[in-house]
Amino acid sequence: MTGMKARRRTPLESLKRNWRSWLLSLALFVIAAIWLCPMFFSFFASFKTNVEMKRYPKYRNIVPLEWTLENYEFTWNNAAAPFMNMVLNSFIVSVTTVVLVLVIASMSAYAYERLEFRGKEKLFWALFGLSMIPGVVSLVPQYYLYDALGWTNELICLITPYLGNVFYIFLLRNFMHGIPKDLDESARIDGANDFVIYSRIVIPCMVPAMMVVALFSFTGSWNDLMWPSLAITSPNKLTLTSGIRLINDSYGGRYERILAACMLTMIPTVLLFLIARKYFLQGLQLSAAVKG
Amino acid sequence: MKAKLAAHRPLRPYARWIPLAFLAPHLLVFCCFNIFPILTGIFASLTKWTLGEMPQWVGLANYANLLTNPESIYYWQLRWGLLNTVKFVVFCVPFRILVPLAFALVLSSKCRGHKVLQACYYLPSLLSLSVVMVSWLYMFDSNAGIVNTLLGLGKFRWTTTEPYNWIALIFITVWWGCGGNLIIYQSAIAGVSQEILEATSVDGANAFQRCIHITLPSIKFPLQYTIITSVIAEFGIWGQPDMFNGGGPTLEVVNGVNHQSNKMLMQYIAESGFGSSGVNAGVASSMALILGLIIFAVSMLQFRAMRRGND
Repeated sequence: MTGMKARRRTPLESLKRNWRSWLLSLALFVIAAIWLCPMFFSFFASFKTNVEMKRYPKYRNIVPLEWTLENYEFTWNNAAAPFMNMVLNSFIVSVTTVVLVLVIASMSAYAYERLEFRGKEKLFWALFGLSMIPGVVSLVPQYYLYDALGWTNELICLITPYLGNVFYIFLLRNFMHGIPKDLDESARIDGANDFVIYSRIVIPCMVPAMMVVALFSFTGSWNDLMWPSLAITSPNKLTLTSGIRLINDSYGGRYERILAACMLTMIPTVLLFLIARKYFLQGLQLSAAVKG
Repeated sequence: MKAKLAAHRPLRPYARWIPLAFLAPHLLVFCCFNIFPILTGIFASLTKWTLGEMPQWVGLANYANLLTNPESIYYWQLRWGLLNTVKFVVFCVPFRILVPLAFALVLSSKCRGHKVLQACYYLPSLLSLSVVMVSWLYMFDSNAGIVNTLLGLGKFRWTTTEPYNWIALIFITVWWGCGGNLIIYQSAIAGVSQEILEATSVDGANAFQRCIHITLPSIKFPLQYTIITSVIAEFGIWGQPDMFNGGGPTLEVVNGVNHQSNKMLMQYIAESGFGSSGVNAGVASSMALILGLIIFAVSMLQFRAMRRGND
């Protein structure tokens, strides 16, 4: 309300008039700084030497007195926890999951939203109900299933459990409902079959919703901790997130080194957030709006 | 013209197998990798199944042991694991709702820099749990830790002292999980009618009264959604205690089972299902099914609310 007018005033005048709003902002920025301080401390610690880490309580320096890249070099070259492999594994798993989820979920959403077949709604809600059975029930047998298939310690066992997600279909279906059918109908009259309508007409209109699903499944897969930790025992096949757990156990409390690995691990998701912030926020709002 | 065309067009302008072709990939992966393991889990919970052997049918013996037989180690695992998990849910969920709600309410005043602030408060939710845990282990470390230095606690051990290990775990979980709920509340609050808020403001209601009587009732459904999703998420807690202290200090030993201060049911399930010693996938499945039933009961509440909203 006051924003429009305030912008035309000089900052000092605006400060005099809206001192309460300024004070609130200031307080919130202080809280935000405290809120994020583990991130700052960890970031700076990853550039400290071991000697300096041990001296912290004495000198209370947050920023390193002596900056070093030794921790990053160590992380990168450590043979016991092959970091480069973990980076590659994480990317392979996350990207494959995203691509497959997008194809599978959008095809299903198309069938439920644009095609007619007997028992459609019943099937959809039955699947939805089944998908609400908590993952813990299948945790143990899942491991033995992949063991029987010889897939434990293979990256594929980190991808397949997440492909059957019904909520993504629900999300895409709801979005597709809002796309007018005129286009597909005129294409159909022109002789286009469903595969053409799906891939040439519906999918291009679905980009915002597909982005949301892609971001959700990418971060979900990238950040998954429990299943990779349990299913993968060979360090060469670990993802970054589960690899950090191994690194944490095996670096003997050398926080500066563990934190260097952490800093490298968080780059992709934070970068994605900064680039696609709009879609992240939209997705969260969307999921609450349709479920709430 | 259009009506004429529609009349000539068959009801279904495509072959019967077309819907199936679109559904097949999902149905296939869903049945193989979601339904099949669930069915196996239910079956396995009725068997004795040790590593490398075929499962042997034992009927409801696993459940009988788990629920009624104090001689069995699993009886104590279930008891302590479930108690700790419930304790964690009860103490953690209120903060997982109230902290982001407070942030959302304050940010709804659209103060200067509210977008940057939103990103700052959201940021921890982007990190993977293992990164979060390492950062906080470093913060809470008894030697090099910043928390002890700032609070002047000397070499206080956060990981092994009750109830401070609980406080730390809940604090970390709230910090990590704040972002999602924050965004949901913010968008819900943005949808609250400005006219009613202004009208009550003219009538003399203060900010607190407006919040209690207008804003909160209007975001009832998002609140309910986040409460249920948070409860579901926290029932499955595993990573935080696993990386923080592996379950915490031993309080007592009964029947050769350590009663650990903050060991959760999920950790016991993972240990008896996969652990190197004394693997019993059958009992682990029974424990998983009991936990699963509890979570399922909570999610059914949400499912019902959703279908009501959709119909």
